[in-house]
Order: sequence, then C-alpha cells, then structure tokens
Amino acid sequence: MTLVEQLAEFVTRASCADLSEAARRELKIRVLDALGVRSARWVTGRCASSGHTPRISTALARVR
Amino acid sequence: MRIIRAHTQDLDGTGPCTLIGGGRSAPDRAAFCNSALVRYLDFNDGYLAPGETCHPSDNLGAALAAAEYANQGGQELLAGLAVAYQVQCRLSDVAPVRARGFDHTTQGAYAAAAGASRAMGLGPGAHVQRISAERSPDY
Repeated sequence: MTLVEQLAEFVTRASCADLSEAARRELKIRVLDALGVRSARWVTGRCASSGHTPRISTALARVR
Repeated sequence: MRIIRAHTQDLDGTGPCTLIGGGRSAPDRAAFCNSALVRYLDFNDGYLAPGETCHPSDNLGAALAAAEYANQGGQELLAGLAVAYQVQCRLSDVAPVRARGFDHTTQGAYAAAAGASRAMGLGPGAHVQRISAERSPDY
C-alpha cells in the first residue's frame, strides 16, 4: 500500500464521532477563532444591519 | 482582500459556495477567497513542530467550501477540518521541509486535499485521487 493510499485510508476512517469532547470543543474554538481573525467585522457588521445571527455560529452550536 | 474578492466574483459570482461576508462563487474560488480572509494578516493559529511551523487553520476555507458544495452538515465539516489539522501537524512533525528550503504549504497542500475530501464524504478511491492530484506551489 502506498503512502497516499494509507493516508486515504485514514481519511476514510475518520469520523466526527472519533473526536473526544475536548478535541471537538477545541476544534470549534479554532473555527470561530479563524473566522474571527479577519471576517468578524465584516460578518457582524452585516448581521447587525440585518438582525441575523451568523449561520456558521448557529451551525457549530448544533454539532454535538 | 478587496481585490481578491472583486476578482473572485468577477470570475464567477454565482457558484454554489458562500463567500464570507456575502456573495457566491465556485468551490475552489470560495475556498481561496475565504482562506485569504483567514490568512491575510497572518494572525491565525500556529503549530510548532521541531523542524517546521505551520498554520493549520489555513485549511478552513477548503473544508468549508467542500462541505457546502457537497451539501454536508457541521459534523462532516468538523471531521474534514480535524483530518486536515491532523495531516498537516503530523506531516510537519515527521516530514519537515524547512531545512531544505521549502515552506509549510508543502504539508498544507496534502492537508487541504485530505480535509476537503473528507468534508465532501468521498470514498477511499476518490480520496487517493484528490490527494495524489494535489501539488504544492513549492514543487
């Protein structure tokens, strides 16, 4: 099996359910942190004017 | 960022993927534009391996576009992003390239392909195709 095939096997096996609660929490924090780095002003400005909650934040909150 | 955004929408302003802050484009262009938003001030996260430094949140744009394109939910997005983080950080640990004059986009190219592929929910054969087709701009 080539290295790429081994990597693909890992990718295939990986599941959100495999993540520990701590890892999932940290991953969500990194999503919001990455978005917050540069897009927060853009997104929150638009949301403030439209009265909507950012969809990404809402979607992440639903993932258990 | 204004130039990237205008260029992205000029090329394709009606694609299936969302541009953060408004607008739409093709998956690869949305990935590029959204990744640039995360990256352009160089304030995103960092992973310090013994011989390499990388910024795994660079993968978010690709995973986000891939998940949206394939109509996947938050769990698949997080699974794809977790895969991308693992691949990039692990490759940085065991296969650093900095000392040879290349930079961390080498590992990042494999990570983004693996993460996007997982976020789309592709099968193992397609994972191999996507990862194999990936080319780092360093090479």
